[in-house]
Amino acid sequence: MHDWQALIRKRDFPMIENAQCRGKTVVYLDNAATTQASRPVIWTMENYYMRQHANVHRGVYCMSEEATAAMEETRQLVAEFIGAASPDEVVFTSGTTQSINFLAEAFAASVLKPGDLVLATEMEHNSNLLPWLSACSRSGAELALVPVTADGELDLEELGRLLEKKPKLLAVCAVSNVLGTVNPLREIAEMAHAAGAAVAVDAAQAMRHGLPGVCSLGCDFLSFSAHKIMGPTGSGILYGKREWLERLAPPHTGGGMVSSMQWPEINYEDIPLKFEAGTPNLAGIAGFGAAIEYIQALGRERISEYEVSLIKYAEKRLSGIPGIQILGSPAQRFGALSFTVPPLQAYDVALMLSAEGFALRSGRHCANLLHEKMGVSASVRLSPAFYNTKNEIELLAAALERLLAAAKKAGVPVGGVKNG
Amino acid sequence: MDEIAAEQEQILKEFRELEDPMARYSYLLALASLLPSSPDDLKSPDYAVKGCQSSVWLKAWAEDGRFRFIADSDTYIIKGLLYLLMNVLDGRPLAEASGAELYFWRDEMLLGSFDDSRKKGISYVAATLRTRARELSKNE
Repeated sequence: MHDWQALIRKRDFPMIENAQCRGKTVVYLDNAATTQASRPVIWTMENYYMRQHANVHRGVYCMSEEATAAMEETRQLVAEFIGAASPDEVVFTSGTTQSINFLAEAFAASVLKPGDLVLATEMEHNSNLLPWLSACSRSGAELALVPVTADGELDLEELGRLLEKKPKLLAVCAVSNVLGTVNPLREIAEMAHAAGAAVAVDAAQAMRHGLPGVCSLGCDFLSFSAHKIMGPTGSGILYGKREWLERLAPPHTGGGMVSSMQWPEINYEDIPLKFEAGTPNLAGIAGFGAAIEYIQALGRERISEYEVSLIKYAEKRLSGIPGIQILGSPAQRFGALSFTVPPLQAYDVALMLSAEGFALRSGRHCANLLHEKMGVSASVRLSPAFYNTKNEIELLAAALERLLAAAKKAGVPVGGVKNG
Repeated sequence: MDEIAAEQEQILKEFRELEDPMARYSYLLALASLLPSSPDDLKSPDYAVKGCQSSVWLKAWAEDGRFRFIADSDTYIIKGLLYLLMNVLDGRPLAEASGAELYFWRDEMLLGSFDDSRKKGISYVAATLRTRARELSKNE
């Protein structure tokens, strides 16, 4: 174990170090679903409610001014974190799902026309698929999907062919939440822009990774959630290039986004406030800022290097166990690895491992199309973060070996062998 | 204690002897292989138990005044539970089966780690068995 890793695990993630469930020590490996908030994030949110809480933008009193300044400070932090040209390009949302729904609604209202084409991929989480399906259905546009290869990579040749049809937008994830595939975003963005398509990146699984800044990636939109980077749930952002955000009409309206009103004529605030109707999740935004500072302090390169080493170790160890089938073999994996133990159902495998203390996820991980493409109905996913250890992966592998032995003994033909 | 309750107590006693949850699940896997193989036509929408997270099919009928059923699932652990349900209910007199209280499957030892949707799914299986037993009992 790296020294820094052991220290921060103990100091900042007490739940990871001490959690018990039904008498077993919990090994938390479900970080693609959500990560544990670090101690500084929890302190910041507590401090916010204890000393700072007031509504933003509308008060001239001290607490409101402080709350506004704190929110804008986080906006600045996010802009630096993602390499945006300006904090004005950062819109606060409740998380990635809301960001994409928000964008898709705005696109349907302001950009898409009947007969237009939108591209998504077979690799997408439903949160980056269903909003586009709905936007296309409302606007009369068509949605086409970029296929995934047997290895679990995007088929860039087919993407090239689809781009010849001049789509308005390409929605693509930076990292697959099932396979951990790291997509070549820069290349994809270049291809899409050459065809005149905007690029919207779902970066939910990528933000602990050494993702290049949005400006250098060349994406037009990017979404992610705080709770995937050791921050709180219910807080996230939609990044949009200034020219795009200025062009799009706000899909949601309400308080806090009106600059002047002479009924029935209404003028909205400039970006980003025109997209932030209602009271924002202020405590969540405060915690979001603390999470970014925490990740920045540890260093994304260091985090990425360590997490990649865990995934590589898991892939090597699990692929050596007869009876386990790992989904895909992409050139670069980050954050997630999914597998099946046929003929056992994924749910049963996760359930039996849960009895041993392992927190894993089973099912389709909201990526139904990808599972269909990989030829499985469901899978078990392990997704380590930097507070996990190689020893925990080893414990999981040993538990899987015991599970397989027990299943074989019970007459289940795991690994194609029936020993009953 | 009637035979249905006695059978359920016996099941709980067996599971109590298996202290380790992994051992209990392994036992369910072993019981799954004992579930009689079902005819192909069982796996049709007509016999599907609605509301289950896993696919479960169940066909019940009356035979010489007794409640009979066959069942299957796409999941080994559920197959194990179905086998236990067969031990409890299959072949019992219709009057007994229709009034039986099925409770063993609700025990923490069996369902402790199941999530709510699966617990609900298994409760649908038990409810379907009870309903079918009552219907068949009325028709007798």
